[in-house]
Amino acid sequence: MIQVAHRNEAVLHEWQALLEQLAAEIEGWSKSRNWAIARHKAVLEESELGSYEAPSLHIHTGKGALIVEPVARHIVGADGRVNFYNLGSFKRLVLIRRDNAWKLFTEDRVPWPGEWNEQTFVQSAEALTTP
Amino acid sequence: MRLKDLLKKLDLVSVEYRVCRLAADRLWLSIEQDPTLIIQLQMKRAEIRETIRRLEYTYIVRMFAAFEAALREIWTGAFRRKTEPPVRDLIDATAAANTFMTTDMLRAAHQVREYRNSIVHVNALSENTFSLLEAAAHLKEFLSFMPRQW
Repeated sequence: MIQVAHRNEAVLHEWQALLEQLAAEIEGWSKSRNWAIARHKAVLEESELGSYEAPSLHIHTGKGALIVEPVARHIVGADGRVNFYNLGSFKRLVLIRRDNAWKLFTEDRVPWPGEWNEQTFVQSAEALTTP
Repeated sequence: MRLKDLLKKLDLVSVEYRVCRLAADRLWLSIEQDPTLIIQLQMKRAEIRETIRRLEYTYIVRMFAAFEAALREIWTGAFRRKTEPPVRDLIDATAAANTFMTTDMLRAAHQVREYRNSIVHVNALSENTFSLLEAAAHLKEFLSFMPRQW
């Protein structure tokens, strides 16, 4: 476990609140489509923030199992990263926090067209579960 | 060019180290069992012991060289750059190219670089030390965020 002498509590709380908000959003969008969804606690470790808990989601769309997994607040070139992937095929998309908004990218870092919203979530979930 | 071909080159260095380490350990065991071997080899026990101890240093330098070569290939091939930046800048520049890797990963790659410098240059002290396997894990993790093909 990483121990941090003076971690920035404000940054950590803001990041945890953003992850909580993202998880709640995805839960709502999934439930409205009758997709099974389960919430788990992920433990993350970062040099700057130490160890902390964040929500991770397991979604079953009927076509496949998807995972929404926070990675880190401190990343190169943006303000946070969450992985969104298919548990079976490991096809992966990346949600990046940049300019106070979530932006979706493909595995090869090509920006997903459009803003992060319910429609984008559904389209990306379908893309991840399409063979 | 595929990223996995570059990663294989780092794996090959690990394999070579394990083979050499195994051979060196066997040699040491043979010397323990038959001290006359020392005379036949015309070496001192301390020299052999020191050689075995330093084996990992040698392979960390080689591992980092394979990592640097991979980064330069990615720099020119995937990112279409014609410059030849120092390796410190090369690490930062490739990390900054929309990889979205964690800052901990970037820091770990620099720590391995500093450790390699401390092995190569007498006065370059490093706060961190790494086993070859640890160094390889950090460097491969860094490379895993690069484009897969170009």
